[in-house]
Amino acid sequence: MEAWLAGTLVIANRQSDVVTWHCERSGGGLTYGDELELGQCLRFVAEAPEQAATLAGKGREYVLENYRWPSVLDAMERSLEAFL
Amino acid sequence: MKILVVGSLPPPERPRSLALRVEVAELLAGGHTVDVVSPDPVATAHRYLSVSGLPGCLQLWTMVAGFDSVVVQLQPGLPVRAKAGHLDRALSLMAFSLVLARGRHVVIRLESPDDLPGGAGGRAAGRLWRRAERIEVNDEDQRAAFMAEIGKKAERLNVVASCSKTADDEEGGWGYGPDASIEDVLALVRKRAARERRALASADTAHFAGWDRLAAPGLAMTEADAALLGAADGPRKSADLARRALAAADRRPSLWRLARVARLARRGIYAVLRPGKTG
Repeated sequence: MEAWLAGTLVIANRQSDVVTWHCERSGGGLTYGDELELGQCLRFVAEAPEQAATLAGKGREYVLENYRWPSVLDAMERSLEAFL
Repeated sequence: MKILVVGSLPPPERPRSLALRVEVAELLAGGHTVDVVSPDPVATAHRYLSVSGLPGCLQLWTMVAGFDSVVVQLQPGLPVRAKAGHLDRALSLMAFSLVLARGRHVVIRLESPDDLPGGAGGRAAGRLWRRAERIEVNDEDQRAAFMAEIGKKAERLNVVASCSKTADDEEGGWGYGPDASIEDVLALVRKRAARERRALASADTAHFAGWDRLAAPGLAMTEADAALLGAADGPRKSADLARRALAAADRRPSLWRLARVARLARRGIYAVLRPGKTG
């Protein structure tokens, strides 16, 4: 998320369900399953930096929308209230 | 058929080297015996050209005999050096056309117009094109530009737009434009990776005569190339690759350069330890 905030596209291992979930939800990260897919992801970043930056921007929007302190605290409060 | 392929396979991975890797994989899958000669000292190959330009042509002269077909992928240094003058270019092209005259069923691949310094036109280049049974260029646009540059003589050449066999692109580039979604890009990433996987798998099962020479110590080879060439001893370590690259570059820093870097490093450390008092 720090990378997204800094406007950087994320390339993540698909074996991590959490990271994959964030990438899919934000539309700001690519996931790879093996070294060939990783290679293609890196090629994309190298060969299409503008498209990569556009996608990274979606990641930034996602973080700003969902993971600022007020949003996080609101969500925590809601969860706690529901639990209690 | 026994085929001599002249050009650079990965590493490093560039569109040109990836395209040639796919070409080699297809030849191997077709049951041909392939011998790769590379002008790039760190690329995967059976043999290497130790020099480029005109001297490289002379070296290649000794290699082409005895093959049923010769496939050449042009690149800077093969045959024309990137910074060659008019005379050097003309002599290199003339020598290279003589080399190819020794070969049978010659195919010349031109992945990009920049791969032949000075362009495709001119009398010396014309001599080279006439030696080729087939000239493969990347796409129809490049074919049209090539034909226009050669002029009338191009009518007698067999120029086909089929060179591009990299993981690219029925779609062309990464080309969804600025509105690309992550799903679009991921679909293309997976498609290209799958195509590369298939190419490697087909090469895995193919017979590669002479691969044992690849097992000689010091040759650079990535995992993918090891798989492509069916090398049992696997990829070379990155240290081998780096060592070979350094040896090829044959550039050792001078003492003056080392001293300058050391001086800068000392200033850097001083700046970190005593901020505000650099100089």
